[in-house]
Amino acid sequence: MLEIKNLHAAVEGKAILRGVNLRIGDGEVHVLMGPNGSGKSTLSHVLVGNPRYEVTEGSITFNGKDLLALPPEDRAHEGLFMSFQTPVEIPGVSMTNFLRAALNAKRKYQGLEPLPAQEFLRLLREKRQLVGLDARFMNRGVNEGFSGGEKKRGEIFQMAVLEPTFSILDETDSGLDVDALRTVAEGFQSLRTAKTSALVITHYQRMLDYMRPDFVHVLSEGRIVRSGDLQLGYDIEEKGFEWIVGQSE
Amino acid sequence: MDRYEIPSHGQLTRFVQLQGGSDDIALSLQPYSQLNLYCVEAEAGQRQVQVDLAEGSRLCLVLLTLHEGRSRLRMHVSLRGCGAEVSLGGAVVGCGEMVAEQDLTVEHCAEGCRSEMLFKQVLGDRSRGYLSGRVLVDEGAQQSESEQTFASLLTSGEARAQALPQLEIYADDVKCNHGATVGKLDDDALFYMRQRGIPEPEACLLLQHAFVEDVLLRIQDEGHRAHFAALVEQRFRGQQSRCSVCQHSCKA
Repeated sequence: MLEIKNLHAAVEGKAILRGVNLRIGDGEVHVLMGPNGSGKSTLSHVLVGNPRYEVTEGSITFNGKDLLALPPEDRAHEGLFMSFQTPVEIPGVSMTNFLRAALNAKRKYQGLEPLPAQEFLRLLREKRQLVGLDARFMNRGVNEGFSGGEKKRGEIFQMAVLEPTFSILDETDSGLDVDALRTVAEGFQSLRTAKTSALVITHYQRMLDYMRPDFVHVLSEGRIVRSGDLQLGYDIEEKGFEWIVGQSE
Repeated sequence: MDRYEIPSHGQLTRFVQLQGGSDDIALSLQPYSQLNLYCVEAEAGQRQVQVDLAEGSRLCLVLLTLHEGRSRLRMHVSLRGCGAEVSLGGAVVGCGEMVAEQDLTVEHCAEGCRSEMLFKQVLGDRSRGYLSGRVLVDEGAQQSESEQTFASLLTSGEARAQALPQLEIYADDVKCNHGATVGKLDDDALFYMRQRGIPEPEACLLLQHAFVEDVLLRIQDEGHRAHFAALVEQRFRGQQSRCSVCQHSCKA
């Protein structure tokens, strides 16, 4: 599904990613761990095409297409979704109008007619219940006045509505209490199919328990320095990063 | 000069489409009357407006400026009777070479009056927006409350905005606030929307519309509000935004 080759990227002229190689197949969940500043968020922003990040070398193919040649909106239409670490507040644009615009843009890209209003509202209601998001959030500005936990629920709710094939969860677990994390993780799991994949960035064992990833990778100084299965995640939880980062140097 | 009077305890809601040329208007609100005035300035003009509010009367004005020329509005509101209230809302959507100048003065002459100004301008291309607002509180006008908010959004590097909120206070028991901001579209919000699949032009349009939304929300009547929102959207889409091409049939 996704293949990253020798990816180098910079932010404001400063090199952050220094040769990332990663292959994620259909239906797989990969967890990315690593010390602060190792480039985890940079990698996710590069994948979704944030113009602040400059790719200086390497390639990314997504279902055979050159991802780097596509603008962010087309990457979304191709099935890419990112749950933001810090979701942006957009006062004055209601969640309902926001998602209507997003969903209908995707349908247009796929050559489909806009979803009839009633069907759209039914879809919102159904997905809202999936992540336990109250109806009052629908007519408020996007993320406006949401608590940290509500914002993260909101991200998974949007994901449920837009049905991406590849999701990036950038520290979706941070700022969530135990119950909220369970709801969000269960919501995510219920959306999984044999065709949908995910890259999950996390620092916590709880997230590993819920996600049951197929692979765990460690990013350090802009490169993946270790890959393994779920056990690698638990080892890091126990011993920290130093033993891996130390060995790779 | 054209003079209009709202009789004592009268209530009136009017939608007005302002024509080009020059106007000189005097409005008088008699005690405890109420006027909701929703104006669309689709043609540039030179306008001078004097409003007098008597005791307990209320004026709510929303002005939408959408012309393509050079306009100037001078407005002086006098809160003459105790407890009079005025709410002035304005939205300017500028494109091309448009120049819109708005010079507003609200004078608190009596006790316990309230005034509010909320003016927003979205300026693209080489358009210019000049906002000047002055709240003058006379010596005897104790317990006056006033709030002035001016916000400008520049969507092109060549557009220019100027906003000058001013306070002149001669009483000592008053609550007066004022503020002005000038900014550009929020890059983070824009990217967030694009990540969800909303194409950039559509995302810009939603953000610009959101920026002026709170001015439009001052229109209590839903029909007129939808009409104004439609005119604003047409303007953002670069279409002609005149009442004659609008599908909402407001009674002018």
